[in-house]
Amino acid sequence: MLDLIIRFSPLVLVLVGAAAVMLADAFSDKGQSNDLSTVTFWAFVGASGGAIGLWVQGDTMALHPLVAPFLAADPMALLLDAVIAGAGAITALLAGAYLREHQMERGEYYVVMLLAAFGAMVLVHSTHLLSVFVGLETMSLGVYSLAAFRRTSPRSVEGAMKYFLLGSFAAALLLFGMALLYGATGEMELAAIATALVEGSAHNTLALLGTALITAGLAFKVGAVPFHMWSPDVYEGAATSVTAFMAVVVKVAAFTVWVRIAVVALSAANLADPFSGWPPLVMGLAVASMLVGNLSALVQTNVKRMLAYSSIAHAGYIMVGFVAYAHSAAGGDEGAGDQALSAMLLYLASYAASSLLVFGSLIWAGSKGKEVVSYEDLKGLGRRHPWIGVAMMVGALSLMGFPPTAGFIGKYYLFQSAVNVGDGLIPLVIFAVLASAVGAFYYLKLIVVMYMEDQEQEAAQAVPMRSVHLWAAIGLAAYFVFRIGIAPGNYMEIAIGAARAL
Amino acid sequence: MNTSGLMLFWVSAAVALGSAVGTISMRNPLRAAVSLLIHILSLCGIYLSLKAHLLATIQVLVYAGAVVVLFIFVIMLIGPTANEQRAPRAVGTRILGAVGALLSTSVLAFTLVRHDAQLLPIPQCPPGAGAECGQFGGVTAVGAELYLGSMVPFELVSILLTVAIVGAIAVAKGKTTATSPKNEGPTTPEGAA
Amino acid sequence: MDALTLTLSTLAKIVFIMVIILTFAPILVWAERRQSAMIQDRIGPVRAGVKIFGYNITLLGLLHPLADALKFIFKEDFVPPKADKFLHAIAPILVVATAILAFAVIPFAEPMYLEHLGQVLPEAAARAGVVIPMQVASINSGILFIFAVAGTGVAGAALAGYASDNKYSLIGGIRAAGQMVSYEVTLGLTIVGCFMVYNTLLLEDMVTWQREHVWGIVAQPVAFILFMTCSIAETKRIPFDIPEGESEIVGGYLTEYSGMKFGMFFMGEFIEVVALAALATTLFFGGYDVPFLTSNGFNVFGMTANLPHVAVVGLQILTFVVKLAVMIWFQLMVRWTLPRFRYDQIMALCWKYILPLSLLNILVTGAIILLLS
Repeated sequence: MLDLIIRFSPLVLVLVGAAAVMLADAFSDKGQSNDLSTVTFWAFVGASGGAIGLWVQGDTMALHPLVAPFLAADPMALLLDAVIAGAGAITALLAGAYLREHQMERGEYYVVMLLAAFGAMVLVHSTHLLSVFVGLETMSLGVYSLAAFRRTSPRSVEGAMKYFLLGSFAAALLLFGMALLYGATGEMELAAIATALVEGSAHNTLALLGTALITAGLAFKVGAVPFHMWSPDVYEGAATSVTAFMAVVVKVAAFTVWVRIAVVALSAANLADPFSGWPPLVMGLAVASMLVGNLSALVQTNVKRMLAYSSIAHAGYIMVGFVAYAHSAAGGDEGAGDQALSAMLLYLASYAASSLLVFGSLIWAGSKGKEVVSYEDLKGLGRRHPWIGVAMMVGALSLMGFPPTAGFIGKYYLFQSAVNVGDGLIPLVIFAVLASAVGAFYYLKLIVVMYMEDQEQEAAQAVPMRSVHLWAAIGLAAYFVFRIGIAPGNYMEIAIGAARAL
Repeated sequence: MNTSGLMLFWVSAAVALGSAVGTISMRNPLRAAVSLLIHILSLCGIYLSLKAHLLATIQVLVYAGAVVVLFIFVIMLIGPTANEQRAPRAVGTRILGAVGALLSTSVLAFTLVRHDAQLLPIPQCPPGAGAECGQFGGVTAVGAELYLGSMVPFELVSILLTVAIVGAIAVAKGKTTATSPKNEGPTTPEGAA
Repeated sequence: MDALTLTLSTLAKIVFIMVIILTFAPILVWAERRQSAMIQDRIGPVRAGVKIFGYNITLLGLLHPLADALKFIFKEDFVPPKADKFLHAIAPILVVATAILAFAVIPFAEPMYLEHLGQVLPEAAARAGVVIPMQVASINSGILFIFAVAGTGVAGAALAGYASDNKYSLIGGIRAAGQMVSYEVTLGLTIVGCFMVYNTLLLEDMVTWQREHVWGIVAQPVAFILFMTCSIAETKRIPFDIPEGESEIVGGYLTEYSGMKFGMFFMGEFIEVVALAALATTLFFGGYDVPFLTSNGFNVFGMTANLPHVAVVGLQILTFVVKLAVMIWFQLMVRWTLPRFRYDQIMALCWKYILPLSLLNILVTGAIILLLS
């Protein structure tokens, strides 16, 4: 029992944090100010620390037979635990600043956030269709209600409603796909599914159909085109601290579980065939996401909407790594496959850090009464408030993929891994690079607006907020952006280690 | 499957299909809810024909007893006239929807018809054996599977329910605190009961 | 057992149950009126009678239910013009049918061995021949079946409220749905303690356990109180009758019902009372158990008096009916003693008091079972 608690200490710590926040909120007097965001922050930091500690210890003892089929405690899960918990810690600080400033702070927010992060962590540990679904729903339900947290704003409610309805539909697709996969193989454990598929005792057409449905369901969660309709509305409507959480944690967890399902369960030759299985499907999603995401982001006037489309585009880039993995696995090149997977993981981490930095700066620039949401609000911000300008510029450059930031390393490593696979993927990589060039346009527009344009005199200017929480969050995010960007060495090693152990 | 089981299956399946179509095509929301109720009861018949007794009971208990009643509750709260404003839908959308539905149904049907995998037999009971037999889908078997085999997902579901409850409170509270900060729900001057 | 015996015996049992239900329901109407009259120091219904040879035979008012039935049958069945006719018609059917279905799993005597009817029942090994379990159906999920069926019945009241095209009906329907869904959740939890003690979900096994050990009310007193509260709320009778609440919303979801459709709601309510009594008897009062009566006769502290099998079974059926009557009487007493609760009080009682208490009961029961084992 104690062994299990230690092995899953990141999850346990997040749960303990949720319970602590719940109790603290319930037993505190009305009007008494509690710094629940700090409690949440430390819970996430603890979870992150736990994951790192477990990684360093490198324990490979077998899990209890009751747990083993459902949850794994392998390096990849630990790495993503650390990423999710780290992102959770930063968003907890952002929420502590944002919600208090806009007088929306209620204890439930942190409880739901912790529990949603718990769901995300369960997801990255899942090795069984049951725990995948339960984890996914835990995360999604939490995020749905966070998206609707700003009940007074019709946009928030509208976005949350769309998210909820479409999300339920996607969950139904996913579940149907799982049912078909179970019907085809008679197994629900990912490894056992793979065995059944490889040994040929399974029904292949059914498995293919199940794979397609599962892919569609997961593509919705990561916001890939054409399952992306919800994301601009939700990103725009939700409170900015929620958007940051959603953009990072949901995407990271959904991609991880997608990788795990695809790599562990759907690795049979006919399903993972580069030309007739799920890889062409993912390639189509990747191309569509990069195209639609980048082009739509160009024409947005609202920064949050622009970031939503940019996150769709990023999902497309990450899927390039996915395709690269499938091609190298089919070619029997294990080294290149591991490199592709590790590139995806590293990209996820760098995307998380840079997104948090941009969203943090957006929160920073506004205060009660006037939030910064459009390019109009940003005009001249860089000259009026240099620190915010620098923070946002660094975040945008990192999302764009400009050295020496994390985004550059992520993109470089990802595209390089795709090129390494062979000539077959060169067109895709060229397309991805062109797409990033289009992407550079709107990120640069953000910077240009901040430094080179002036706001009209009569327009209401947003006053930046002052909060220690916020500064800490920005500082942390910026640290990781530069840490991965300048000295990515051991992060790469960790990612490769995680990919190799999968 | 024996004859009576097959009969139960075909009747339930036919009713299930018919009521499912009814659920999505009824104009009146409450009639759609009743169709759904019938659909759920016929699903229960399908489970029974597969000897999943407990699942059948739970199906009725949860879906017919709670979910449909909640649907009806919500429909009545929103108001019986809420069905009258329907946005006219373009013909193209309808055709697209129909083609999509037809396509996915035929793909599924094609796949299932070609199903050649080995089917697991359902343990049969000797005729006349009472409740002790048929533990395949019974309380004991399902309980053992749930609490021993699938303990981890079962416990995870408790977290899922917690996040659902807290999330619902978070959303619901957002409105009351925003409109009237002092109003804390219905007043209960002398407490309850 | 061959198919013919099975069919015949099942039919016989169904007939027996239906007779009990359908006689109890009119008698209940009478009992309720007489009892309320006694409680309120009135005379009560005594007028309806039959004149035979100049004597007015009233049978203490027992003929009133008969007159009621005649009235229901011959009264105009009025359906409001804008009502949903289909839903308006199936709502009462849903209510009555689900109420009756609950009896399917309730055992009213121990299994009957046709070949040993005339003699003292031998040891289990020596028993032979056809055995008929004295319940209509032994369903694997046992008591869950009752909950499932009762849950479906909730839709009946709600549909009636909606289909009537009447504001009062609608309010009544909403109240009914809200109240019954809340109490149904709690009702299930209140008796989880019993399942843990009896270690089964089958009602026949619960009775067997109680015969071998103690009655449920001794083993699970808290569960009994909570269960009775919840199930009285489920029958929607005073003090939980806000869905009807005639002083507030005319007649709630019943407002637009007349004739036999109203009669079915009316009957459904009383059938629910009987069903609840049967369930409470089975769960907490040993079902058909007669103290000191074993399968082959009385056994009072070592002194035995053997009885033939048929007498034992007959005695058990009789006991079951008597216990049923006592439980019904208890419900009528509650009905005429307490005033109507307010809606928020009912909800608070459910979610803030009964639910935590039943969870606590489960916890304590589990702890005790763990300690004893």
